[in-house]
Amino acid sequence: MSRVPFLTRALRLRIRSLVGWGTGTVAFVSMMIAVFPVVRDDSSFDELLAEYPEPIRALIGGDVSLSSGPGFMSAELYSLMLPVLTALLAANAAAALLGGEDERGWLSFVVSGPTTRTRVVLETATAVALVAAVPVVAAALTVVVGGPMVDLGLDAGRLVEVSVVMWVFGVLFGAAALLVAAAVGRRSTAIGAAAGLVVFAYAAEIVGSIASWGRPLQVLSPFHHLLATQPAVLGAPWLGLVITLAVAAAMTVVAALLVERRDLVG
Amino acid sequence: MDGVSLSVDRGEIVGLIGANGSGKTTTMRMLLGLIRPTAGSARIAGGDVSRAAVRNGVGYLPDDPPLDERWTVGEQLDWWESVRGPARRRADIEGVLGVESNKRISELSRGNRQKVAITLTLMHDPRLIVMDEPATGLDPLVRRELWAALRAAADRGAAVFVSSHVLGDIEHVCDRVVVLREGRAVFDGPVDELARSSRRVVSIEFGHAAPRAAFAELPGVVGVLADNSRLDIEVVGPIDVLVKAAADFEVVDFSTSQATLEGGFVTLNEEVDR
Repeated sequence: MSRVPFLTRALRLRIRSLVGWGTGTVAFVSMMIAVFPVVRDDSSFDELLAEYPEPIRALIGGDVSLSSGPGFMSAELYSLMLPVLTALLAANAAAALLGGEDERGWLSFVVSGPTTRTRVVLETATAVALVAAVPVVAAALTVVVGGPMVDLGLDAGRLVEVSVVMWVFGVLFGAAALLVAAAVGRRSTAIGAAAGLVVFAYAAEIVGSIASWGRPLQVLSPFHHLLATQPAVLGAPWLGLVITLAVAAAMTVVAALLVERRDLVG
Repeated sequence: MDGVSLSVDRGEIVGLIGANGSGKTTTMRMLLGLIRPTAGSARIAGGDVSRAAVRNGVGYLPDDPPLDERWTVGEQLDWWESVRGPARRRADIEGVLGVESNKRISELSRGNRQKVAITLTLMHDPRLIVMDEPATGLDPLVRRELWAALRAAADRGAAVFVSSHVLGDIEHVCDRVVVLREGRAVFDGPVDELARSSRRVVSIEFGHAAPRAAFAELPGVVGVLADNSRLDIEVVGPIDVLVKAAADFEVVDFSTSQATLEGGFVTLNEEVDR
């Protein structure tokens, strides 16, 4: 008998989806690793990148050298693709597990007994955090296995650091979706809001990096605090990680309070 | 909801009936603390329903039970035990309702899904049973088993609060009935009392021309239709005055429709409309 039945249920219900996302991540990262030797051995990629205007370089991930393994992986995987994928996967899980389950009456059913709404929210938040780890771990394992074959040069410590950054980034948007789901009890609203936040955060980072009037917006963006420092190259921004985790934890607590105080939907 | 005040005692089965949108589900959800009233309170065994410990002995069957489609029935029941603890009546209820543990829930008919949901509701032997349309999709035989299980639970001391559109079932199983209309409780009393208040048609065939005037003004008579030697008299309440009045005439045939809960429910709603 599970001591965390809502957590185990959440993971069991999403296992097929997680296997799919994990497999997809492995395939994508494997392709990136396979392509790396071509880019490394051809300096024209770096020369071409250097000629791009600042806004375009910002879109790719800043000033990185594509001929180095960490720089290549930073530009191609860790600056946009993996964090966004992780964020959307976590947000979708949170929206479905809280908003979707409220809509279809499951939440009402389980809390009609002695189970507290807070317990459901906290176990759901834990499940979302574990869901967010799936593509990150899949990507890291693929790098561990495939990296040495092409002399990727991404050492274990740096890999752990960038993986933690990816995970925290996903957890943040998962917590955002959880908060919205807790407030309104609707899956589609929660996933829509979280996806909108991802787009806003990315746009804020880009605008802030190319225009002075965008700087105030850039400060709000987790892309700026977690990813713009190129953690695959320079290491994890620990202060940013701690602050981001604190924000995610605060959003989870507020989510629990909101669910405790509002009428359930279904 | 507006000014609804009701209680369900231990050992009692109370039926909640009303037209669609009258507030039955809302009332049940308020009782369980799923939605909060703007004024007033809901209490279980004297405790505030918003406290989790107070809801410890509650079994709730919602109108559309949310089962996990990918699981088997056994997995669903096992999981519920991991949430609520070992269920001492699980085997009994499964056996009575004929639940098949190995089947996947997505493969079940509506009636069989309802059986699983009822098992989830009853298997922990709750002290308060709240069921919203529990007979939905059940065949007559299983319905009988369901009502028998609820009666047995009430006999063990449970308070049972149940809504149903099948008023015949409510009539046979409930001790008391509450009628909701547009968010207000318009009747709260014994089932028999509401059934007796139903509008019935008493048909009398006379051996001569029908004496309409002798019946039209009698207490409880709300309409009289005369057709040569036959009278069809609509009456609300006891018909003893009609029987006495008929004794003064040559009566060839006398028949009356049965007083039913459904008739009482319809009559009550017509009276409220007026």
